[in-house]
Amino acid sequence: MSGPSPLEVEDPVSDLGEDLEGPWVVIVWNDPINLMTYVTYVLRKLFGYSEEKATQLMLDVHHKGRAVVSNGSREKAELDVFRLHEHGLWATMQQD
Amino acid sequence: MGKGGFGFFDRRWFRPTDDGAFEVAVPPGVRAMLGDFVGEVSELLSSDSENVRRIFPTAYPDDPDKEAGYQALVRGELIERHQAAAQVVAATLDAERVTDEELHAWLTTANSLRLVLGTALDVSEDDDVAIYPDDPDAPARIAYRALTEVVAEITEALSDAL
Repeated sequence: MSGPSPLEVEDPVSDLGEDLEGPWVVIVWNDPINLMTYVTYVLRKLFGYSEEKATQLMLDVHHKGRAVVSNGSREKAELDVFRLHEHGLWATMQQD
Repeated sequence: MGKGGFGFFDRRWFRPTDDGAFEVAVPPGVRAMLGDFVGEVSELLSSDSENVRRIFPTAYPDDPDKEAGYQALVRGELIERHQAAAQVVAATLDAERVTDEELHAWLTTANSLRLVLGTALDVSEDDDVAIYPDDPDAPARIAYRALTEVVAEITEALSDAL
């Protein structure tokens, strides 16, 4: 396997304006009300995570107070935050 | 209030069927309570009560401008989705069988109501939500417990079906 020659490298991100700001991360915060099993289910349902991965993220939220559950462009992060909010999870987004 | 569940040794309120739907065996008293709450969802969503703040969380806590843009974009959509889910619950309140989409509407509605009630009761983590007869909040605490059971039962049924 050979790498691309430097001349062929393109940076598709550079034309996308806002994405120049860099990647965004979506964070779910611990809250005293949502059930642990519910949080795990929502992460599996919305992001297609395995039960193991969703459970680990839920435990991070529970024990560390927060966990990064997804990342990407600002538009993608905003959609993820919206879907988490629709399901009653306390989610915020910020630039990494 | 009936015991609910499918049989003597089966307390489950929702059971997956072979064709991807769910049988419902929620006790009548719990259904009636859900029906009462669902009737109040529209009013709740349009109220400026502090108790609904968990329904409309902040996306950009450190950026007021972006936050204003986010809220302008999604708040109406969030309200519409919660109302649509509540209508599904109202329409299937007495059903003995629901689709997975209908059950998902039950879940998001019960969870939203639980968030509002938990906020009103100022529930804290590991709160056993003890219920004392002379507590003026006793009815709300009983309802909160029932909603906890509904959310837990639906979560288990839908998780098993994923």
